[in-house]
Amino acid sequence: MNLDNNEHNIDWDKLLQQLEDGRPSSGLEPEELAALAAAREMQARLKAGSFPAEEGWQRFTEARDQRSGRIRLLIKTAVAATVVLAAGAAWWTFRPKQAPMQIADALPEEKVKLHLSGGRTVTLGLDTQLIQNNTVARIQANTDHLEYAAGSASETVTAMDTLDVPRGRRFSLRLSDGTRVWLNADSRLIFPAAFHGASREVTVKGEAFFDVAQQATQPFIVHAGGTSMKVLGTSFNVNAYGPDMTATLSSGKLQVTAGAQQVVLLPDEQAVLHQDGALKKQPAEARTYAAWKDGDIFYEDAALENITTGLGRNYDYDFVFDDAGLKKMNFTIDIHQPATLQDVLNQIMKTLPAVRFEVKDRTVHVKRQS
Amino acid sequence: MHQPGSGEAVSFEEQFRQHYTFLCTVAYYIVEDEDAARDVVQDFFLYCWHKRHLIRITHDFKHYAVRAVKNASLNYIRKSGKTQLEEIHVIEELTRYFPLEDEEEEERRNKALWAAVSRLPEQRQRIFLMSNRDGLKYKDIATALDISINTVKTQIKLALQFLRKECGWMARMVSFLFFLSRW
Repeated sequence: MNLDNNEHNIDWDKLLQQLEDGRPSSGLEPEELAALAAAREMQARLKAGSFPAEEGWQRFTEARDQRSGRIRLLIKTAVAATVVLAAGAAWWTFRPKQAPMQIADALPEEKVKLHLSGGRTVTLGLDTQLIQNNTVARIQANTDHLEYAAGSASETVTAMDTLDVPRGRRFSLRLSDGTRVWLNADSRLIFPAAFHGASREVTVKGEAFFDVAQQATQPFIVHAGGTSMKVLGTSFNVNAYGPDMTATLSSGKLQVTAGAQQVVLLPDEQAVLHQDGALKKQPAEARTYAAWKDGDIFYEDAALENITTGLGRNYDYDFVFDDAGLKKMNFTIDIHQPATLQDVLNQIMKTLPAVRFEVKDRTVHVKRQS
Repeated sequence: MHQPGSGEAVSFEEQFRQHYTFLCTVAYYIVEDEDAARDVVQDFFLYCWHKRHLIRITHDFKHYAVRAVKNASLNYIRKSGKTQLEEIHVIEELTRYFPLEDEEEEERRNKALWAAVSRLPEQRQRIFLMSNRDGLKYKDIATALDISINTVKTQIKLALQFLRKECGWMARMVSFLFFLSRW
């Protein structure tokens, strides 16, 4: 019997009236009583914010110190309740403090910023704006995208522009040569407004996906985490959050250089520059590493620790493991990135009943579900 | 009277701070009046304070406190004279279902409820919270938002239907109540 759909017996007008004045009548249909019970329960739960403990304690201490001894109608009940208490040793129990429940739905605090080579800083993410229009380049932005178009000048541009994407944000841009770049949260791209030299060179911190416009005579070089990647026309993901640097190739061909070491990648291959300085090549499913640019959260058989690091960056939250044993639990998650972190946390808790998340401001505590 | 510097006194304050908010929601569930809920819970703690040298709670302070606050709240509405006997009877029935004894489950439910509330469409969420969290009357919400009172009621009804569907536990409670009310 599915009762939650059984709502046709409910007289909502009557119910809403009773809910408003708090006076339930005894002539309710079972479905109405059930709906009223649920509604009152929700009301009570939602009221928690009206009863902050600090305020209660202030009020309590005032009353206690003023009218010591004078206790009102409650006594009788409380005395009755004491009867159920067994005599003998017992104490006020210590339990972890229970703050009012919070959910992880805060928006990121920082904004995306473009630092122009001339020293001007522009905050992005607002409306469509024309940032610069001169002989070097024309720069336009809308809420999540930036476009460069080369101007009439042909001198080599040596001064660099810098795009800073903070935690919790993401931005894409089209460089003046037509190369498209997606920048992940907590990442930076340093690049010239126009490419007129022998090569096109940019620098990445954090994570970026490149779809490089093909130009046979002018190689595109990405510097990241102690490596440089030389491409002609190709698409690939660079993850230089550290401690390792990872480049994963989606299409084309990519030459990765670190000092004297060099590897050449084909699609679905990955170069990793390890902390110890070794550059290794390994097979990798490129889609896993590029999913973020399409707004997906995709981890395959990944440790919870790694997933929470990524989530923290994406939503501008910090994760703390109250139970270190949970860090190494592996699982797979493949969803379109929801608007709030709480939705992701709910998904994870559904999959991993052993895990519980507790939100305090911008920190999420990872606990074991006992 | 100041707190003696003993460990027990400190733990009294801790107890208060840990449980005050939750106990107020329990009282509110019954008395449906914020100030009355605060009074009931405060009186309970005053009682505990004065008896602090006598009371030794056997296992779980929270369990005891919930019982006492429930009883005191029911007493309050009985004595207030505003509530009919039949109404009190219905409310008494309701108190069997909230709160639960299982703290973890309580926490899960709060979380689930807030998460479900956050999924409501913006306007509906706003109206629902104005009514259910802030305690505004339907007509005051209608005035504040410049919409009709019927729109307010419809939005609240839709919100309640959605939240009941989203929060599975309420469906479980529903079937309990259903069988109970056939008696």
